[in-house]
Amino acid sequence: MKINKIQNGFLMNNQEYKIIGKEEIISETQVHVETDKGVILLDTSVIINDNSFIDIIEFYNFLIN
Amino acid sequence: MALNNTQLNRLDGITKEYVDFSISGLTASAGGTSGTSGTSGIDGANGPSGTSGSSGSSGSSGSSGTSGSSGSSGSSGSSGTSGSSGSSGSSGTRGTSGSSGTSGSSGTSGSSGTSGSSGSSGSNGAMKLLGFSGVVGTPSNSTNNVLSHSLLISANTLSSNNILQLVWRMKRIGASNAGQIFSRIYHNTSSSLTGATLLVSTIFTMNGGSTQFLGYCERNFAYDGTSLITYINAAFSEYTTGTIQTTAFTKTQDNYIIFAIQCGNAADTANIDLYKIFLYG
Repeated sequence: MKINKIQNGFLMNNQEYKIIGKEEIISETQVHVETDKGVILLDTSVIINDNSFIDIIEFYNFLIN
Repeated sequence: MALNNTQLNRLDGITKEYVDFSISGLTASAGGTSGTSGTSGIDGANGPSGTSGSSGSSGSSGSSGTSGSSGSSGSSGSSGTSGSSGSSGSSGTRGTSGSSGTSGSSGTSGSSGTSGSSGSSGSNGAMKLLGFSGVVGTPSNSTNNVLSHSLLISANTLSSNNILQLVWRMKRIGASNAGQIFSRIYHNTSSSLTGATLLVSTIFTMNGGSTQFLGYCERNFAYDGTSLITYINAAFSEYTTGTIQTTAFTKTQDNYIIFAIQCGNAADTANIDLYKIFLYG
């Protein structure tokens, strides 16, 4: 799956998700992201702006910064 | 008249026997008067027996006799012929799920079909079982959150004023597993946890390694046509209170309900061994 960052959120499946709360790292590869459309599970298999990740913390930091 | 050797009684009382004498001078005179009747004679002796009479006619039939005693048992008969086949038996219980098959080769495109006729309107809804499983799904063998079971809810299955009821059971695999077991439920447009939306923002947690092996969880969701509404509470059952959680749910697209399982201890194993999804509407 590929997503793209936008201001305060990301685009996934042609839908815009606004990040409205804190993340929750639930495993070494998975994170819950609180958005305006609910809590979304993202993991390191997701490619963000054509970038791949192994570490979930790096993944999330890239997503929100 | 001539007489021979006849004894005559004379009027002077002398009796004298005469041989070859005759009487003359007698003349017959006209008849005198009749004498008086004599006395009756004595009864005669019995006559001889008569001859036997002819046979009489047959008599009437006699009355029926009493019933006779029972007869002795007869000998055993020969064996009968085989009976016809019985009717088919009832269906057996549902078997376990088989393994997934390999993918087939791509087929050629078919010709376009004709349009079908419009269907009739359906009856008013009631409770429907959308899906279930009574066997374990994909296990979690590490601290990763794993999709154990999922069920597709096809587009336009839900409508406003519906209730979606999810029931599932967490299972600890192995008596020596000591860590916590976690479970969560999601929905997604594909059968994948990646990008899935958490349906209840809580973690269903089973503690008690070596003592707690099964945890039965349930949640009901009210559906108003756009959102699934439930409450947030880590309790397994519904008989408690919590804050409201509203999750957008687009009824016009395919959605998968996902049951996930996770171990707190990397050496443990956990799974979900049953789930049921009901729709009221």
